[in-house]
Amino acid sequence: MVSWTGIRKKYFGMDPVSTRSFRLKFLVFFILLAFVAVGIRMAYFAIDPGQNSTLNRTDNLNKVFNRGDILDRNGVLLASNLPAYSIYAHPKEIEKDKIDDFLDALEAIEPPIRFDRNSEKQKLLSDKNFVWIHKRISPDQSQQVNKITIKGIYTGEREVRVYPNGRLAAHVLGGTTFGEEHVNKAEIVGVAGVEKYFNDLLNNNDSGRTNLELSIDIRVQQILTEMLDLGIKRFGAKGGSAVLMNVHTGEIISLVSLPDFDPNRRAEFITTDTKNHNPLFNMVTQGIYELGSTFKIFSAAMALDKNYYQRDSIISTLPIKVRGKEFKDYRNHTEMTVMEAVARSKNTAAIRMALDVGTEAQRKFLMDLGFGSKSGIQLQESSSPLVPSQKQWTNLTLATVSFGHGMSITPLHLASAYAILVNGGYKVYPTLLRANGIEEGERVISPKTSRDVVSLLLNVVENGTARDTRIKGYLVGGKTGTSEKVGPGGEYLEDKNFVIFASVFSGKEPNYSLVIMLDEASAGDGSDYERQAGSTVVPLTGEIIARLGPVLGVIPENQLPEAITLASK
Amino acid sequence: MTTITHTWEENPNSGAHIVKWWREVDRFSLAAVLTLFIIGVILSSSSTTPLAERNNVPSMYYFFRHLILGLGGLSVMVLLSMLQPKSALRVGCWVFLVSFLLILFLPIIGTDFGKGSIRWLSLGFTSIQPSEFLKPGLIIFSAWLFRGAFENNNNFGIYLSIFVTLMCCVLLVLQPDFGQTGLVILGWCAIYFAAGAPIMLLIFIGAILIAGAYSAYTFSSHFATRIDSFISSILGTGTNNDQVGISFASIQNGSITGTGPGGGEYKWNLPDGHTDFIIAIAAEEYGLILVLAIIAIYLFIVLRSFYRLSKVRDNFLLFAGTGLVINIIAQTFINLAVSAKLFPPTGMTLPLISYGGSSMLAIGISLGMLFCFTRIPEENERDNYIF
Repeated sequence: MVSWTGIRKKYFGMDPVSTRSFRLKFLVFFILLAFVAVGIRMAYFAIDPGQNSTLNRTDNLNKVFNRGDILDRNGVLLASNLPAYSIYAHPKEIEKDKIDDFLDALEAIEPPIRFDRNSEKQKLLSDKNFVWIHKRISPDQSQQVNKITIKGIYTGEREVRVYPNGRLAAHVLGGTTFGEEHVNKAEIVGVAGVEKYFNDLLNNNDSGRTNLELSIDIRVQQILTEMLDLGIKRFGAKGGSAVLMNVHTGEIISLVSLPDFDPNRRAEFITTDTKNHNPLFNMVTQGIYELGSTFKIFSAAMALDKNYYQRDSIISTLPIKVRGKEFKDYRNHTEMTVMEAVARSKNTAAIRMALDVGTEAQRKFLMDLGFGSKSGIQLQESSSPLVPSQKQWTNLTLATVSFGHGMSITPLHLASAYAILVNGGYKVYPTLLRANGIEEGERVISPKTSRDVVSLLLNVVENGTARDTRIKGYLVGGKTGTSEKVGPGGEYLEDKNFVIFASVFSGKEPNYSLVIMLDEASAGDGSDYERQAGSTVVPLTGEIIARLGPVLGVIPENQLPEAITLASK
Repeated sequence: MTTITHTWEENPNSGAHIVKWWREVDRFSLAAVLTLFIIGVILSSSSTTPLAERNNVPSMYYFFRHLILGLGGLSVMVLLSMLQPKSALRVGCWVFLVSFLLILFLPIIGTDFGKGSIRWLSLGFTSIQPSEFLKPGLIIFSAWLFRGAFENNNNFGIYLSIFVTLMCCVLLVLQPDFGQTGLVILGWCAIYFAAGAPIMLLIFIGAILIAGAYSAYTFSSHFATRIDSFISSILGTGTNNDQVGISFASIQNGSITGTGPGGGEYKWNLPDGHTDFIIAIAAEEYGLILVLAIIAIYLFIVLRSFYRLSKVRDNFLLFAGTGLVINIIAQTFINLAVSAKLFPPTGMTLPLISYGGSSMLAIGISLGMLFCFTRIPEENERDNYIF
């Protein structure tokens, strides 16, 4: 028989009082040991003479930094490295009375080097082993620095990232900073755009230099940027965005978001100003908007694909009540064909078609178009759509979503969805990498529905809200949309909006989808009519397509005799 | 039992009570705690400027916040240290119960602040991390159970404390928060050790902890990422942007005497410079001297407290006091060891110095209890003092 006391003494210890002093000393011993170890380690960091540069890591001295180039789809250089120099100093070696002479000489260099005289002086006066003075000067400037004969000042070689096209494709390229820095070389690290997304790939030197070939066509990028900028100025908009996609491959041929920035000097564009557009913000992939009427084609496509309607089926546009809430259109409360209803952008028709299809099918269809998750583009600057949950998806949600409210997606999502609708009906995934041929994805709608959707979109331009795109003979299809801005209290602001035109071109088998969006555009006095997509973004798109046509190899319909078609093959 | 003549409850407004407290309390440790707090306030004036800039508030906003919340924490500490140990025990058990329930319901009411583990409870104006409060509460509760075991001469209390501690561990592992789990286990071990645990058994527990850490590394991606980034930073294969690497560079840059107040450059690259890596900022701006001084002050508090604990009359005071000291000092050690590249990042703050209202309040509770338990009553009251 073992007593409780016996068990406790055996397994749970002895009398705590008699050994207390020993036990506490034992603890103190280990605590002292641990803290002395930390203290010694910190002291070793702080005063170790072997590491005289603050950032040099001796274990990495043999690493070669040779970042790959970035090219556009035609091999044009978009980002590359150039030799440059850094200036650094060993303040301990400097004769302190010569510092002013040195700074005078530094100021005299042509072209001037930007630096803050006071803070540099403080750095040089210190007793540190090592300080950086400037991290990026040209070889020419470096030669001039080397002529300044003052002890303790050095220049070191390094490569810097340059973007020869300046602001063009800034949001795609992103920008870089220096990572690991040594006095004779520096690692370039991507901080945004494809530079960041593909950072490891670009810096991977294991099997030679890896270049990155993008889907972007810099000529198209140039035209689109220039035209969008003109459009923003003409319509007094705050900003705008454009994205051009190959509907068969998902390749992004061009992506513009204005205002933009110069990736060569990205850090200078960082701003805390919340009133104006942040130039670093990518409206195409980061901005999420309720894209309004551009959604109505989805309702039509769904209903056509399920054979509930044909293009010329008659549909009512009388006011309709859903779950107690009445929806109506501005005028023409009568019956018309599906084709007309899409062309005249009827909310009530979109609701009726969606109601026939049902909530579950509508939800599945929109998820199939890619609205359930991020677009998958190779940019970390991408946002997830704001989609009602399955539970919230009632008939009321169905009704508002059928004409583009109650759900927010990025313009890139819209471009992909239009691509799926017109490419024959299979899924495509947006990509910034040059694609090798077409890979048909999962089917979303039938080829016949796809053809019908193209004809509906062409009809919008021919007879509907986007008539002003009909110029210079290109057969363009598309759908306009307006997205009211939401005020601070969550209410829609009637006089502030985004206008969108999602277009596909050219002809009955379009190869490209183009989504253009303007922020607070107005064609004239700011009346309702002047602020509509039809008066602003639609004519702009017309002009843009006319300019893009020749570059993309799209031939105007009215110049399409057989000979030319053959010759172009 | 004789009646207690001078108690807090009987005579709350008596100046005599304050005088008595002042005579009994460990004044040296109290001074050391105040010194650390002042160092923390001075450091926060420069450590929080990058945070203020990022969040677009006036540059001294977080400084004043730290000052006010810190003074709040210190007041709690002083008030608790004025309690009778019996009342402190009661408070400790309540703290344990409430924080345990909060952690239990954290998956429903908590937030992860995008850091991958649900540890925080957002109250709008501030957020608290209930596990910070769980630790002192659990230590006091366990110490009481241990004392009960000795008093009644059976092991029920010890078994119960093992059970409760394991429950807490399960909840913390589910968050997942392995750092706090380790501290909870360590706190229990400290009590057990003070209660006379056989060394062999402790070695056995140590082995289980190591095995646990290994399996956590293997099975939890959150934990494994931290370890991997730590290892890669030691080997130099990671990028320069990781915080451990920058903290290393700060310590180098500060050298012995530092760059001077506000002169730090690397702090701008340390997102957790005001909390987890505060010592790196101390090292960069005030140099090795301040780092060593801070370490010395912590050790001073440990020595003083253990000295006092070696004299207490009741086992409960010994158990709880030892647990609290080990708990505070272990957190201190881990925080410093992370900045010194000896440990992978854990997300633990430096007690009394790091920015943060929640951790300030928690440390105030821990220290208040400790100071309460290490009070040495005057001769004529010794017999009445405890329980």
